[in-house]
Amino acid sequence: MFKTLKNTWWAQSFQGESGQALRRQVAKFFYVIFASLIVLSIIFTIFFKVTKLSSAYSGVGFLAKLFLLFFAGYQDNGWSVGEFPKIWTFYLLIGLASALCFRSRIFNIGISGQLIVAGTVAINLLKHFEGTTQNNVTTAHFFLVLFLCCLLSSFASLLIGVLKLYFNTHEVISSIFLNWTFYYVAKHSFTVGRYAAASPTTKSVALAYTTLTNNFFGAAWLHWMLLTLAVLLALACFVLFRWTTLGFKLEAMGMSSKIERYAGFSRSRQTLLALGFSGFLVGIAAFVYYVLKEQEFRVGFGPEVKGFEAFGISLLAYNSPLGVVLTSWFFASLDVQSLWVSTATLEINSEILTLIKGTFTIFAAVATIFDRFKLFRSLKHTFLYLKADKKFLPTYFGFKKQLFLAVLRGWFQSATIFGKTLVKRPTIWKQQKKLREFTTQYLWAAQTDDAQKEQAFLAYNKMKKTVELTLTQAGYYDQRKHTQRQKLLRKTLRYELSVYKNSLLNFQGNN
Amino acid sequence: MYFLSNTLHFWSVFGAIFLLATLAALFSERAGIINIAINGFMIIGATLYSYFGWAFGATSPFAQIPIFLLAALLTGVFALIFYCFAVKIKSNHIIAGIAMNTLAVTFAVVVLLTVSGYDPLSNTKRNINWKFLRDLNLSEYLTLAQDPYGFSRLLAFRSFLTVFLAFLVWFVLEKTRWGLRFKAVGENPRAADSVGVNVFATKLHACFISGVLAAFAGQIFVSAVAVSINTFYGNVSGLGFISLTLIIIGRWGVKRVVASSLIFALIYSISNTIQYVPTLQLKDYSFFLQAAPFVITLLFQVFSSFRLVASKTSKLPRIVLVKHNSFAPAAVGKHYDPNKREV
Repeated sequence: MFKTLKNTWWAQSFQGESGQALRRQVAKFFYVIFASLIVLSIIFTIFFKVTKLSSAYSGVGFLAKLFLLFFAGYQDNGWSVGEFPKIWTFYLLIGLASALCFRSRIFNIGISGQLIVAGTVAINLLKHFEGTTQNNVTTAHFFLVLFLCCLLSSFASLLIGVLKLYFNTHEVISSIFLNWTFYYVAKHSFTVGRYAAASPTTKSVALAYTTLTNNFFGAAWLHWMLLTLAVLLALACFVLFRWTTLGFKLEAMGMSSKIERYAGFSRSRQTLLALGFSGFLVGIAAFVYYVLKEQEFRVGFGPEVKGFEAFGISLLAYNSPLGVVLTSWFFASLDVQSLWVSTATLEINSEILTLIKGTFTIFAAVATIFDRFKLFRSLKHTFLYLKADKKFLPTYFGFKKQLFLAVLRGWFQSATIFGKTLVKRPTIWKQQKKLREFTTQYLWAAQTDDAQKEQAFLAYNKMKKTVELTLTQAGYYDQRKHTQRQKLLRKTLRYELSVYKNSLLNFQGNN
Repeated sequence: MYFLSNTLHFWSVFGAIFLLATLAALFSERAGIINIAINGFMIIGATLYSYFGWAFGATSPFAQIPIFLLAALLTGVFALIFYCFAVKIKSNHIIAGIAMNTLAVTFAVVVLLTVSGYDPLSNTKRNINWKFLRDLNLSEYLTLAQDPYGFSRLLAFRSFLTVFLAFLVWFVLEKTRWGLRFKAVGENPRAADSVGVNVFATKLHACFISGVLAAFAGQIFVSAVAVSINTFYGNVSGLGFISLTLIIIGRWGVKRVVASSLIFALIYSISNTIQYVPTLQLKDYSFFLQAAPFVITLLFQVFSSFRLVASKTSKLPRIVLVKHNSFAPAAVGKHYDPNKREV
C-alpha cells in the first residue's frame, strides 16, 4: 500500500531534491505553530498573573481549553453552526485574492476598498429592491447583486493595475488612497444618501428581516455550497499555479522585474489578469460578508479592518492556495468562537483573541529563522544510527551525559561572584583554613615562648610549600592556562600569605 | 468666523503628525529599508505615552516632556525588533512590516485592557488620565488672551517640536557625515562597506531613529486628536500608511518630503474644516470633501507621471513617462549579505 502511495504525484513532489523546498515549507509551518503556541502560553500566563483574573486557567490550560472549544463549540450553540461556513468562505476568498497577488509580487492593499465598493452597492441595491417589491426580494435580484459585486470589485481592483501600468503610480499609494476614497463615498451614501442610517451613533444600515427568510440565499445548505465553491476555487488556483503556463507566467513575474523581456510575454496583461481575478474573488467575499453574514453595512472609522486580515491568512499559508484553506479555517474558528466563548466560558475579552492571530502572523513572517532548525532530520539520523549499531544508544547517551556534565561544570566555573569561584573554592578553602589554624595554634603561643618562635617559622615555611604545591597542581603557575580569574585568585592567595608573614615579622620586631 | 484659526489648528496637528511620520519613514528608506511598520510604531508610541501618563499620575502638563522623550526612546528600542526581522533574519521587508503592525495592535490592546480596568463581561472603558494627557499649550502660561477657538492653540508644544525636528533631520541627513552614510548604504551597501562604513550599524541607527520619530507622531495624535473624543482605542486610524505615500510624492528628498507632507496636511485640514463654514452650505458633501485630499494627491501622481518633450520630427510634443521609482534609493528593499559575491 505504501508503495502505491509513494508513486502518486503528490507524494513524489515531497521526495528527492526537488521536493526539499516543499518539505521545508511543511516543516516550517509546524515549527511556526509550535513556537507561537509556546509564546502564547507564556503571554497568557503573565497576563492572567498581572490582571489577577480567571485564575482557573494557566496559560497552557487556557490554550488547551480554547482548542477543545474549536471543535466542541459548534455543537454547543446553534448560532455558530450557521455562521461558520459564511465566515470561512469570506476569509478563504480574501486570503486567496491576497495570495494570488503576492505570488506575482503585487502588493494588493486594496482588498479593503474593494470590499467597501461591493458592499455599498449591494446593500444600497437590496434596500432599493426591498422598497419596490414590498420586502419580497426574489432570488434573481440576489444573483444580480452578486454579479454586480464581482464586476465592480474587479473594476476597483483593475483601477490599481491601470494606475500602476500606464500612469506609473506605485500600487501601495494608489490602493491606500483608493481605500480611503471608497470609504468616504460609502460613508456619504450611508449617512446623507437615500438609505441613511437610522441613528448617527451606530452608523449602520441593516437589511429588512424578511429578505433572508424563505429565500434561496437564506438556506443553510447554500452556505455550505458556497464554501465548497470557494474550496474548489482554491483548488483551481492550485492547478493554475502547478500545471498551467499562465500560472507559471504569473509566478515568474514575481521572480524578476524584467523577466517578461526574456520569456516573451506581456507584463501588463498578466498584471491585469491577476488583479482582476483577485478583485472577482473579493467581490464574492463581499457578497458573503455583507449580504449573507452581517446583513448590514457598518460605517467605522476607516477602511474595513477585516480586509487587512487577508495578508495574515495568506502569509501563514506561504501564499499557497491549498494552505489558505487551512489557515482561513483557523482564523474563522477564532472569529466564531470569540464572541460567545470568550465572555462566557473563558472569562476573557474577545479582543484578547487578536493576540492569537497576531502571534501566528508574526511567526509566519519570520519563518526564515526556522531554516536551519532540522528536528526531523536529527531524529531520523538518531534512528538510523540506532538501527546500524546496537551500542549506539548507550554511547550516545553516555556522550550526552558527559556533555551535560561539562556544560554544568562550565556554568559553575563561569558563575563567579566578585572573582571567587564556586567549584574551585574548596581546595583553596582548605589551605586558608589550615593557615588560620596555624596562626591560632603557633603564633599566639609564640607570644610568650621564645622556643616556639623557630617552630612557628618552620611551620610557616612548610605551609607555604604546601600551598604552592596545591596551586601548581591546580595549574595556577602555568602561564599558558592563565585566565583573568585565576590571576585574581593567585593574587589574593599571595596577599593572604604575605599578610601572615608580615604579622610574624611584626611579632618578631615587637619582641 | 473661526474658519482660519480652525484650519490652522488642524494644519498644525495633522501637519505635525504627517511630517514626523514621513520623516521617520524617510530615515529608514534612505538606509534601504522599506518601513511599512510606521503605523505600528505610531501605535506603540501612543500607547506607551498614555500608559506612562496613567502610571506616573503627574498633574503638571510640563511633566509631559520627559514622558514624550521616554516613550519615544522605548519605541526606538521596539523598532530594533523590526531591524532584527528585516535586516538580520532577512525576511521580506513588507511582510516583516505587516507582522510589526499586528504586534503593535496586540500590544496596544493588552496594555490598554490592563490599564483601563479589565472587565471581561462588558465593553472596555478606555479612559485614562486625559486631564494630564491634553495638549501642552504655552499660551496658558503666558499672559495671552485665552480663546479655546482662537489662534492661541497654535502655540502648542508640538508645533515647536515639529519645526525643531524637521530642521534637525534636514541638517543631519544633508550636512553631516553620519547622515550621508544613510544615503550611501541605501544606494550601494557594498560600495559603502568597501570604504569602511558599517552597513548593519547604519541600518540599526536608521531603524531606531525612525521608531523615535514615528513615536512622536503617535503621541501628538493622542494629545491632540484622541483627547478630543476622550478615548484611545489603540489605533491611529491608518495615518501611518499615508506617510509612506508622501515619501514617494516627495521623491525621497528631505525638503521635498517636508513640502509634500505639509501641503497634503493643508489640503486635509481645509477639507475637514470647510464644511463648518455656514455660508457655503457644504454640510451634505462633507464626506466627499474629506475624500478630496486623497483624490487630489492621486491625480497629482497621475498627471506628474507624464512629461511633454518637444519632438524633432513633428510639431506635436512627445509624451514621456517619468519613472517615479527612479528617485528611490537603488538598494531599497534588498538584503545585504557581505559574504555573497555580486554579479
